[in-house]
Amino acid sequence: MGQLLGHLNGRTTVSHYFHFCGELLRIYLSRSTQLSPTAEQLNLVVGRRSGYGDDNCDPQFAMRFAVTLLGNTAKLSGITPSAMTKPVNKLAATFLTEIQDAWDLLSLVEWSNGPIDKAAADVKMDVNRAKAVVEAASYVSSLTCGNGEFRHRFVELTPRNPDQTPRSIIPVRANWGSEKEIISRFAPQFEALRGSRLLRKGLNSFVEYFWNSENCPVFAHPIEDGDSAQAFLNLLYECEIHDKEIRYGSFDSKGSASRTQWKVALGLRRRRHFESWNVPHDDGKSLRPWLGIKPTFASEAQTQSPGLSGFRFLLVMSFILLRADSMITSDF
Amino acid sequence: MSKRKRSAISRSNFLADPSQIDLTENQEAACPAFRAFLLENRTAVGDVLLDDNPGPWTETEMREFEDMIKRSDLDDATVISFLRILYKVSECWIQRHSAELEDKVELPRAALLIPEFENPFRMNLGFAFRSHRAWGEWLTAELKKQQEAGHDRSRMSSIVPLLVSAILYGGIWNEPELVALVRAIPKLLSCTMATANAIYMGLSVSWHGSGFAEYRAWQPDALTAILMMRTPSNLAQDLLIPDLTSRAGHATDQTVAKRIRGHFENVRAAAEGPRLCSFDLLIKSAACIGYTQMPGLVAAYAHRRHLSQSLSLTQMQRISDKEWLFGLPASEGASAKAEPGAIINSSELPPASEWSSSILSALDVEDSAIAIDRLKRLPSAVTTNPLAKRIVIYAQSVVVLATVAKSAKTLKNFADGTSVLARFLTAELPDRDPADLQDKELEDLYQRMVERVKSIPGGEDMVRDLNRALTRFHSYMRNCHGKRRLRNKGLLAPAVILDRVDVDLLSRNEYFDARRRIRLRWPGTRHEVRRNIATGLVILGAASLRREEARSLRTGDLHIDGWEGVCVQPHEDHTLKSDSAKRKLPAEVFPPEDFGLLRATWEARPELVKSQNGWLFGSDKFDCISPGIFTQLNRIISDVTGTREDPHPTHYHHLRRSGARINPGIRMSS
Repeated sequence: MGQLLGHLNGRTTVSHYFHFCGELLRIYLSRSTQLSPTAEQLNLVVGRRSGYGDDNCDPQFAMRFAVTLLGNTAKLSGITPSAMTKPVNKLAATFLTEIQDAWDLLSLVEWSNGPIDKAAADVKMDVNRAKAVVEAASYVSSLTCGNGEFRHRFVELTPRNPDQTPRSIIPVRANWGSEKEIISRFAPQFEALRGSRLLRKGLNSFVEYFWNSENCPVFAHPIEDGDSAQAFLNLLYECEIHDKEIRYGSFDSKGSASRTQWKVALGLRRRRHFESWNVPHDDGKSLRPWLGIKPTFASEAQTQSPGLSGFRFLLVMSFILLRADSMITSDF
Repeated sequence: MSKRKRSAISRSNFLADPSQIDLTENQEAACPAFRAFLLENRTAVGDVLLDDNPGPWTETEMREFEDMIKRSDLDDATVISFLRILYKVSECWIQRHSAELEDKVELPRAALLIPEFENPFRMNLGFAFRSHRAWGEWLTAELKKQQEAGHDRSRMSSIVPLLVSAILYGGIWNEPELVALVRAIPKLLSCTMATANAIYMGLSVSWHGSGFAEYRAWQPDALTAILMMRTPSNLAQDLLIPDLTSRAGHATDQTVAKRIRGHFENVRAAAEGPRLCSFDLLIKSAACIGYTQMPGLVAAYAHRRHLSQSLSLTQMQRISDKEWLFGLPASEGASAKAEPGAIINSSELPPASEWSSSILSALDVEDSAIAIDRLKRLPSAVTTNPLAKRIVIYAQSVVVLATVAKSAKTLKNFADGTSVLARFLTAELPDRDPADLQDKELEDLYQRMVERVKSIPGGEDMVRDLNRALTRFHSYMRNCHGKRRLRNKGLLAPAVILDRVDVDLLSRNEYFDARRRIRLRWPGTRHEVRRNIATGLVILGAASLRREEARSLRTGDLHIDGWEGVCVQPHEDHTLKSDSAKRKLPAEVFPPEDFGLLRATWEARPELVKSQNGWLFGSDKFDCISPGIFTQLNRIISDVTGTREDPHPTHYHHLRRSGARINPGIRMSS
C-alpha cells in the first residue's frame, strides 16, 4: 500500500494513512492460541462451572456476554443508544436517492427534446423510465397561471439552437446545504405514502395551484377549489405539519364571506387567523376570494420560512417521480 | 533567489566554529568532515558556506549540490548525515544574512533514512512463554476464587486481574496504553461502544508526557471485556488519586504506572504456585510472544514502537455498515480525545499585544517578499519594545527560508506560530529581549511557556504550535546569538509527533455520493468538461494520487494501449514530492468502470485539444484546470461526510487514505 501511495517508508503509511492497526491486532490476537484466554477462564468469568462438558464457553459467546453486560451498565446509567442514527439516515436516503437520480437525469437532458438515451445511461436509469421522468418534468415546466406566467421555477438556460424550447426541464434545486434538513426530514414520509391517494391528490393540488410569486399554492374559490385545497392540507397534516405551523393568506377583506367559506370548507376554527395578502400586479386595493396555504418550518413567522424552498423542491420532484411512475403503469 | 545581489552580502568565517550553529552533538562532531568534503568538492553552495563566495545560492545550485552528495562514494549514513548538516548550516547562513536578503533562499530537501525495527527477540523466548503462562495460571486461580466467593462474584476486588488480562490477551504491551486504560475505566460508558460481537474503547495514550496523545480504538478480548465490566471504577480511581507530594496536582502517567507496578509486586509477593515475573518482564514477555504470532508491524503497534492513530469512534460509526448497539454520549469527542488528568491549572490564552498584532498582519500576505518588506516598514512604535524588536528580527530571519516562503499556506502557518510565540513571550517576559537572557534563564522561560500552554484545556493544537515555534525560535537563538543546546532534551516535543495526523477517510458509499454531488454541482452539458475533470480527479484521488499529482497529469501519463494504467512522474514544470512518489498504478487498482471513465474522457476529447496542450485535465478554454477546483471538491466531500462545520473537515487528501475501502484493486495488492 505504501508503494501505491508513493511513500519511501512504510512507517509513514502506517502512522499517517492506515488507521486500522487496532483491528488488525484484534484479528491476529484472536487467531493465536497463546494470546487468547482459555475456555476454562472464559467459563469462569461468565459464571459457568469448569468442565462444563460440550457447552464450553467459546470466545464469541463470551464477547456477546460482555456486550450484554455493557448494555446493562448503560441501561442502569440511563444512557440510551445514540448510534442508531446512521442506519436511519441510510434507509431514509432511498427516496432521496431517486429524487437525486431524477434531477441528475433532467440536468443532463436539459430540454424536453434533449438527448435522453445517453443521459439515462449516464445515470444508470431505465430508458423508458427516463422518458417518463422527462415527460413529467416537461409537463410541470410548461404549466402556466391565468396571467400566462409559468407556475414553477425551472433553471433558465439559453437555448443552443433556435428550434429548442425556451424553457428547461430542470427544476430549480434548493440550496443543498441549508435545505437538506427539510428534504431529508420529509422524503421518508413521502416514501411511506407512495402509492396512496392522499399523496397523489396532495401533490396534484400543489403543482396545479402553485404560484411562483407567493411560493405556495393559491386556491381561487372556496367552492370550486375547496377539495383541492383540502387535499393539499391533508398532505401537510399527514407529514406532521400541524395547523399552527401553517400560514393562511387571504386576498379578501377581514370578515369577508370568502374567508368564512374557506374556514368551513377546510374545517378550520372560526377564529383561525388569516393573513391579509395583496393581489399581485395591482394597486393593493383589489379583493379576491383566493386563499394561499403556506407551511412554515421556523418558530417565528417570517416572510420566507427557512426550508420552504427545500419543501417546494421536494414536492415538485416527488410529483415528477410519481407522475412518471403512473405514466409507466398508465393510471395517473 | 533568481536575481542575486552578491555584492551586497557580507562575508563571515562561517564553518569555523560549528558550536555556534544549531547542530546536534553528533552533527557538530561530523562538521569538520563536512567542511573537508566541501573543500574537496567545490560547488557554488559550498563556496558560499566556505566564505569564498558572497552568496546566496540559487535553487538549481542547491539541487546540483544535493545530487553531488547523493552520487558521491560516501556510505548511506554519511550521505544522510551530510545532507542534514547541509540543511542546518544553510539555514544558519540564511538567518545570519537575513537582513541583507530580499527574497527567499532555497534549502536542501530533507534526507530520510528508512528506520530499522529493533530486534524484538532480545530475551529468552522460553522464559517469556513460561512467564506468560504463569500469569495466565494466576489469573485462572483468581477467577476460581472469585467464583467460590459466590454471592458477590460479579464484582472484582482488585484491578490487577483486569490489567493482567489486558496484557496477556488484550494486546496492551506498553505502559502508557495500560495507564490510558486505567484512566478510561471510570468513564467507561463515555468512551466505549459496541456491536453485537465487538467492543471498542477509545484510549487516549500519551506520548512521554509531551502533552500530545495518540488516539487508539482498542478492542478488548472477551475475558478482558467482562473483567472490565466487573471491575468497580473506584479501584481505578484509587490509582488516579493526585499525588500530594508532587507539584503537578494530579496523578501523572509515571505516578499511575508506579502504582500499577506496586500492585503487581504485592500480587507477586502473595502468590502461591509458579513464580511470577515482574510487571516490566510480563509486558516484555507478552510483546516478545506477540512478535512470534503476527506480522512485525502489527506487533510493533501493540508494543508501541510506532504511532498509528485510529479513527475516532464517531468516524467509525459514520463510515461503517455495522449496527452499533451502544452509542456514545455527546461528550465523546472531548472525553475521548483530551488527555485526562493532565489539565488541572486551567487558564486562558495570553492576550495578544498591540505590537504582536502588527507583526501578524505584516506576515499575513501571500508572498514572502511582501512580508519581508512589511516587516522592514513596521512603525517605530512597534520596534521600541525590545521583545517586539527581537520577534521582528526573528521573523525576518525565518521568512526568507524557502520552506516557509514556498506558499501562502506555509507563510500562514508560520504567522500563526509566531503569533502564539509572541503571546506567550509577552506573558512571561513583557519588556525584555530573550537574546539578553542567560542560557539557563532562557531554558526556564521555555519551560514556563510549555507548562502554561499545556494547562489550557483542549489546547493540543496550541501546544503543537508553540512547540514548533519554540523549536524554530531556539534554532534562531543558537544560530544568531550563540545560545547553547537545551539541557532538557524532552522539553520540546520531537518533530515526529508535532505533525498532526488528520485522521479521516471516506467510505465507499461516501465516495459514490461525492461523485453524485459532482454531477449536482456541475449539471448540464455545458459544464460537462468541468464535471468530467472533477470526476476524474476524485477517481485518481481514491486511487492514491496526491492532488497535484492528479491535476498535473499529462495525456501521455494515462496508458490505455498495451499496459493500462497511470504513470505518476515529474515533468519540466511539475516536480513530485519525493523520488518515491514516482510510480505506476495499474488499471487493476481502479474499479473497471472508473478506469473506463478516465479512458472515455480522454478519448472523447477533440483532437484539437489533445494537440494544443498535453494536460490530461485541460480543455480548449484552459491549459490545465486551476487548483481552485479542489476548493469545490473539498466542499462536496465535507458535505458528503457531514463534517463541513467541523474544525478539521474531510477533504480531498482523505481520498488517498480511503483507497483500500473504495478500490478492490488496492485491497488485493496490499
